[in-house]
Amino acid sequence: MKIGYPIKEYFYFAKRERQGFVYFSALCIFFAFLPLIYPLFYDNTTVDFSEFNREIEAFYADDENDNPQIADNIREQEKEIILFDFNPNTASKEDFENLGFSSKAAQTILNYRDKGGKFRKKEDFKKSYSVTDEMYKKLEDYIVIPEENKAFPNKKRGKKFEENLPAEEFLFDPNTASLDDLIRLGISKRTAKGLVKYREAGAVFKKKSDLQRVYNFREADYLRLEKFIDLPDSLARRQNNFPPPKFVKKEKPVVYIDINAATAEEWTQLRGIGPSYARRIVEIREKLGGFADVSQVAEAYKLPDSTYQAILPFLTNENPTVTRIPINKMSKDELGKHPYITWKEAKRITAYRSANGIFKSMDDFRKQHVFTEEFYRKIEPYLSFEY
Amino acid sequence: MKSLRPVPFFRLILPFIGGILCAMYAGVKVEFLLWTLPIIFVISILISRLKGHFSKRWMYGVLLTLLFFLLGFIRYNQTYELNSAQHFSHQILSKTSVFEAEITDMPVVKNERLKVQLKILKTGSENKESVPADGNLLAYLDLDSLSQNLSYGDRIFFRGKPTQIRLPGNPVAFDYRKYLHTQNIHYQLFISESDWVKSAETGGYYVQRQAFKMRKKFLKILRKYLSDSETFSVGSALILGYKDEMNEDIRTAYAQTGAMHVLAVSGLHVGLIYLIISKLFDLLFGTYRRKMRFIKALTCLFGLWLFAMLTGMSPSVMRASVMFSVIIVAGLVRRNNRIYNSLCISALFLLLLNPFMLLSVGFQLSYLAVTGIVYFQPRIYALLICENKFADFLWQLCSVSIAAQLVTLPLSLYYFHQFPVYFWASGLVVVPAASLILSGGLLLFFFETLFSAFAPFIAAAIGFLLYWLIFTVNFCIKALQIIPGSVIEGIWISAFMMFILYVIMLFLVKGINTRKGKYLTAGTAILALVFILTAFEKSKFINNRQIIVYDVYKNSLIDFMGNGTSYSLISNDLKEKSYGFAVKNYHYAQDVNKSEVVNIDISDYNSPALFVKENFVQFFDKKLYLLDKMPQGNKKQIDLDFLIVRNNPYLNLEEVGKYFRCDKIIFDNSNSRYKVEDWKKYCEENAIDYHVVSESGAWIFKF
Repeated sequence: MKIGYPIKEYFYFAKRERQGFVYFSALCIFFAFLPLIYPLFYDNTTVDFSEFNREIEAFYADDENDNPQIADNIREQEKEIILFDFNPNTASKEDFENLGFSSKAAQTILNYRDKGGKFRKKEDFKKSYSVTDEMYKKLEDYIVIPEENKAFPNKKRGKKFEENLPAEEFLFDPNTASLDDLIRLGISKRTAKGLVKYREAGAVFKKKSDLQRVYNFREADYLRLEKFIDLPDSLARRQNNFPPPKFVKKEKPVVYIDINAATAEEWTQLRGIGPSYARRIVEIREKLGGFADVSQVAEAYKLPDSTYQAILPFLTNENPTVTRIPINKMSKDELGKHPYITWKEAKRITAYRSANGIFKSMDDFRKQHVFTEEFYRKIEPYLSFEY
Repeated sequence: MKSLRPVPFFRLILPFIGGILCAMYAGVKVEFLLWTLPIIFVISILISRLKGHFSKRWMYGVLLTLLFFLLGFIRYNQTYELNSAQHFSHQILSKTSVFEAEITDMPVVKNERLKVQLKILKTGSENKESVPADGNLLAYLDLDSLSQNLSYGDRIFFRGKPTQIRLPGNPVAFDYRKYLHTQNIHYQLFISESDWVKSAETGGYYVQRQAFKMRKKFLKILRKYLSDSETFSVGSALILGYKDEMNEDIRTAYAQTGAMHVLAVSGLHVGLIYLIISKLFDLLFGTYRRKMRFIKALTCLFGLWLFAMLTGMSPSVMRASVMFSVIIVAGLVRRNNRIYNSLCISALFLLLLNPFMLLSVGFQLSYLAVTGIVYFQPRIYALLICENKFADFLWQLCSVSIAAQLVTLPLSLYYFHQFPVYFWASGLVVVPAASLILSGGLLLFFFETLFSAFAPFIAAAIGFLLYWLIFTVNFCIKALQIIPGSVIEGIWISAFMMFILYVIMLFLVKGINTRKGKYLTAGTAILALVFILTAFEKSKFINNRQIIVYDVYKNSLIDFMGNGTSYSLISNDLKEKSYGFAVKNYHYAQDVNKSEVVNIDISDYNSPALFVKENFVQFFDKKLYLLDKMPQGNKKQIDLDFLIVRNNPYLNLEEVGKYFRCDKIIFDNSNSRYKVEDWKKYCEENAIDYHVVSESGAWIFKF
C-alpha cells in the first residue's frame, strides 16, 4: 500500500501560517500536560488524629467508672435500646430487654412479679433490685400504670386548651394523616390518638363512614369533616359508565393448594400470592424439609397475616410427611442449619446430649429445661431419634 | 456560503432547530403565534412578485427563515404535553381519581414489575362525571397473570394519583426526569393489583399492532435457536431492534469496544437492507432502463418498510427508514444524489412530526454519524491505497469506522464519558458480521414460517449457523474488551466544551480543504483555549475537600474526597449497581482517580487523611459521628462538626444532644420517613441546623 496523497506537497504551508500553527500547538501541548504537575501542589501534610483519638477514648472511658451493673447491662446488650410506653406489671422479658435491661435484670423483675409483686405506682418500679436510679430516671416517663380511681386527671385543662384553637380545614386521608394533622382538624387529642392506635393495630379506612368506627369519634366532628375526607363515599357500584362496575374486585378461579406438593407457580394462583411470596413459601418448605402443618405457611418471610388468613381456606395438607433430622447424629453446625433451631440452641442440644447421653424419644428431648413448649411443639415433627 | 447552495434545506432546518431550542427555554403560549405563519407566508409571496424584487431578494430569505423558526417554536409548544389545556395535571388529583388510558408501547418487565407507557384518555373521580383529558404517564403494575397479558393498544381503567418524576438525589447522577422529558413524559404512578382493570383491546394503530405481533412471532423463533442470554441479546437487538432483555455484560462489552451502534437498529441495518435489496434487484432484473430504476426504488421502499414493520416500528428504525426513503426518492428524482439535502429533508420531516426527537441521543448520533461517514469516509479512504483486494476491503471498513467515530466523538464523550480505543478493530468485525447476521436472521424467519412444515431442517441449519456466528462475534468482542487499554473512562466535558470541539473540527476541516493555514491556526488557537480552560478548571480541585452523604434508598453511602482520592463508607446491603449510579459520574466530574471503598460498620480504619474509630470519623480537620444507635451510659460530651443519623435508629434527640455537640445533623435515606418527620420537628423547635437527604438530595460539604 502507499499513501494516497502527495503528502509532502500537501503539508506545505507558508512561513507565517506555520508560525501561528506551531505557536498554538505548543500552547495546546503545554496546557494539556499541565494538570499532570498539579499533584506537586497537593497539601500532603499528614493529619494528626491523636487528639481526636484521645477525645474518643475519653468519651467511652466513663463507661468503666459507672455502676458496674449498668456496665453489665450495656456490655451484654447486642440489641439497640428502644424506649416505649410500658406497664411494668405486664411487660414481657423481651420488652424489658428492649428497654435496656440485661437478660438477668429482666428475669429478676419477672421473678418478683411471679412471686406476687406488684407495681402500684411509678416509684414502686424503682424499688426493684434490677432498676438503678439511672435506669429509672431514663424510663420514668415511659412507665404507664393505669390508675384505679381515676377522676378526671389533667384532661380538663387539656380539653379547654384544645377547644381554644380554631380547627383547620383541609383534605386528609385518615389512613396516613399524622397525629398533628388530626388535631389541627379539630379532632380531640384522645380520639386522634385512638385513631392512630386503631391504624397501628391494622385498621384500614376504605370509605368515609369508616372513620366513625374510631372509638369516641364525635358525630359533630364527623359531619363537619366529612367533605374533607379523601376517601370514596361508598364502595357500591356506579350507575354511569365510568368507572366501570367491576373496578375493585378481580375474579380468580378457586383452587386448592396442597402445601407440600405445590410448585411456586401453583402458589401464585392464590389471590394475594404473587411470584415473590410463592418463591419464599417454597423456599422455607425446602429448608424445613416439608410442611408438617398448614400454620407453618404463615412463617414465610414477610407474609402478612391478612394474606395468610385469606389463603388459609384454600390450603390442604394431603401429605404431611417431612424430612426428619437425626437429632442424635448431627453436629451443632448441622443442627443450626435447620430453620427452627438457632445456633445457640444447637449448642445447648449438643451440650445436653454429650452430658446426658443420646435422646431416646421425644419425651427425653423434652427434658431439657431451656426450651419452651412452643419450641418443642414446632420441632417435634422434624426430629428422628435413631442412633 | 458557496458550499451550502446545493443544500437548501440546511438553511431551513437550522432556523427550525433554533425555534425548537428557543421554545425549550422560553415558555410562551403559542395560540396567537399560529396566525403569524400564514401572514408571513403571504408576505413572502407578495414580495417575490414585487417589482425590483431582485435587489430585495434577501427579504424573501429572511422571511422564510423567520417562518421556519416560528414553525419550530410552535411545533415544540404544541407537542409539549404539559402545555395542553386538557392535561390531566390540571384536574384536582387525589388518590381516588380515576383514569381511562391506552397503552402506547409494548409493556416491559423491569425490576419485578411491569412498566407500561400510557396515554390518558379520560379522567374523573367517583363523585364527578368524567372529562376527556390527555397526557402521558409511565405506570408500574404488579406482575400477575392478568397484567402479563396486556399489550399495545389495550385500554385500562385505573385509580391513583400520578406524581411527578423525582429529580436525581445525587450530583450529576443520571437524570431520569430529564430523560423522560425527552420522551415527553412527566408523570409516573405505581398501580397495585386492585386498582386497575382492562376495558378494551382495540386501541392503538392497526399497523403498529400488527407490527408488534410480527415481532413477537419472530422473537419466539429467535429464542428457539439462540439459546443463551448473550447470543439472544445480540441477535434480537441486531435483527429486530429488541433490547428489553439485553444482557448487561455483553452490552458493556459492546459499549467499551465501540461496537454498540450495531446493537441499535439504525442507519447501518436499514442501509444493509437497502444494499441487499438493491443488489438482488440488480442481479435479477438489471437497472439500465428508467422504468426499472423506478420499480427498483419502489421495491427498495417496500422492503425497507416491511423490515421496519418486522422490527416493531421502534423509533430508531422509523428514523432510519425515513432517512433512507428520502434518499431513495431523491435518487429517483435527480441523478446527482445530493445526500446532505436528503438528510436535511428527512430530519426536518421527523422533527416536524415530533420535535422532541431533537433531544434524543439516538437521533443526534444517527444523523451525525451518517453525515460524518458521507463526508469523511472518502477522504480518509483516499489517504491509503491498497493493491491487495482483501486489504483494500479491510481499509474500506476501517475508514468507515474512523469517519463515524471522528464525528460522533464529542457527543459520545459528553453522554457516555468513555472512549473505546479499539473501535476500529471492532468495526472490522461487527460491520461485516452484522450484514451476515441480518441476512441470516431474515432467511431464518422466511424458512421457519413458510417451510417449517415440510423442510424443517433448512431452518434448523440456518438457526445453528446463526447461533455460532453470533457466538463468535461475541467472543471476539469480549476478547477485545479484555485487552488492556481498551477503554478510556472518566472523561468529563460540559455541553459548551462539546460545541467548541465541533467548532474546532469545522475549522480544521475547512483548513485542510482550502489549504489555507489561517483556518488551521484558528482551529488550533481555539483548541489551545480549550486546554487552558480545562487546566484552569482542574486547578480548582487542588486541595479542595468534600464530604458527601449520598441519596441511596434504604442504605448509607458517604464519600470523603480530596485531591483525586475518595474514600467511600458504604452500608452492607448497598448493591454495586446503586453505588455506581450514585457515585460514578460525580467521581468523573470531580477528577477522582483513586477510590477506596470501606464498610461503614468497620470499627477501625486509618489512612493519611481519614480516621475511623467506633463510629467516629475524622477527615482532615472535620469530625463527625455516625449515629445508628441510641447511645447510653454516662459519657463525656464530645464536640463534633457533624452528626450523621443513619440506619433508622430509635432516638431521643434531646438525650443525643447530651452526648454530642455539633453544627449540623444530617439524616440520610436509610431512615424511615416517619422518624425523619419527628426528628425534623425536634430540630426546628430547637433551632438545630439539619439536612434531610431524602427530601433535599445528597448533602455536599466543601471545605
